[in-house]
Amino acid sequence: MTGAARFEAFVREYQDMVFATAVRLLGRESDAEDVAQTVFMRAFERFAEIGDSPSAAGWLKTVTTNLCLNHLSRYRARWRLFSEMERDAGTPRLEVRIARMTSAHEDLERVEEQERLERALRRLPDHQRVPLVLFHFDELSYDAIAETLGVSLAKVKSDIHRGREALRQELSIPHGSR
Amino acid sequence: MDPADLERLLDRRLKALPRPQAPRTLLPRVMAAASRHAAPEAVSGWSTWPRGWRAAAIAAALMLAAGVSSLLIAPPAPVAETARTAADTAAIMRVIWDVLLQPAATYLVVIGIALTLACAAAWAALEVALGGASQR
Repeated sequence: MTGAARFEAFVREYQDMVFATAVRLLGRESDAEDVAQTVFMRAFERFAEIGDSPSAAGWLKTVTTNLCLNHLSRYRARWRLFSEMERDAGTPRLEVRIARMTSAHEDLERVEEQERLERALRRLPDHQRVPLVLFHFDELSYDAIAETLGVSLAKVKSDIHRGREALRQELSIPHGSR
Repeated sequence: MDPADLERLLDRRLKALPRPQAPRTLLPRVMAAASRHAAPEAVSGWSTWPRGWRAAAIAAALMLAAGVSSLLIAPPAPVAETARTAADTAAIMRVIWDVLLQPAATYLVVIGIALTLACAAAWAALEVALGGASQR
């Protein structure tokens, strides 16, 4: 297999993981695609080292997270300006998931709820969405998140709490629900 | 709802979310950007070579440096003779260039440009003439 073919196979294997990490941290598909491209170009530059490495996925995830955090700190003002206009962009695809369903009605409801949750997550402000994503998807501790973001532990806890409350309201989860 | 319950509930629901799929445009974008760079093998630096290759490269560089320095310090007779001959030839070539070629170089360039322009004009005239004839 040539170098280009190996690299293409590498991108195919990891593109969903890189993109998913980026889009959940950034909240916008177009930015996530730009960051994902940058991540893979970094991987391309070091492909001799990481191409066959078992730690490639971890390396890609770390680089993606770091680039997303850099992107957010660099473009935060612009992001806030345009975020209101672009909130509904990027609806996840329904067709693929619906095909797998056994009970159409219940599963459609579940898919709709998942889409609502995904959209609600992306709509959260950066300072709530980023620590929430790092906690629930990357399974970082509060301390690690505070260190990664360079903010106090109290702020991380408070932002995550507010983010969860916002998601609860968006999903209409009653206070007594389990 | 207790914050701990909400955390557990959301954790379960968030982790159950399907993973967003990369857009179909990502792979072509990355491959196009990669093709603008060098091939992965070509961009791998010396630091990424296997240890044996690096040791061999260092040894080869040291041998080359030793060989060059020994030639400079005490060159063997044939090498010294060849160097002298080359220096003499270079001096002769320089004299020929200064005396014969350099004064004529400007005129040669001007003549070359003029001939090129004349050829282009003749070709254009020929095309106009033949094109007009074919349209008729």
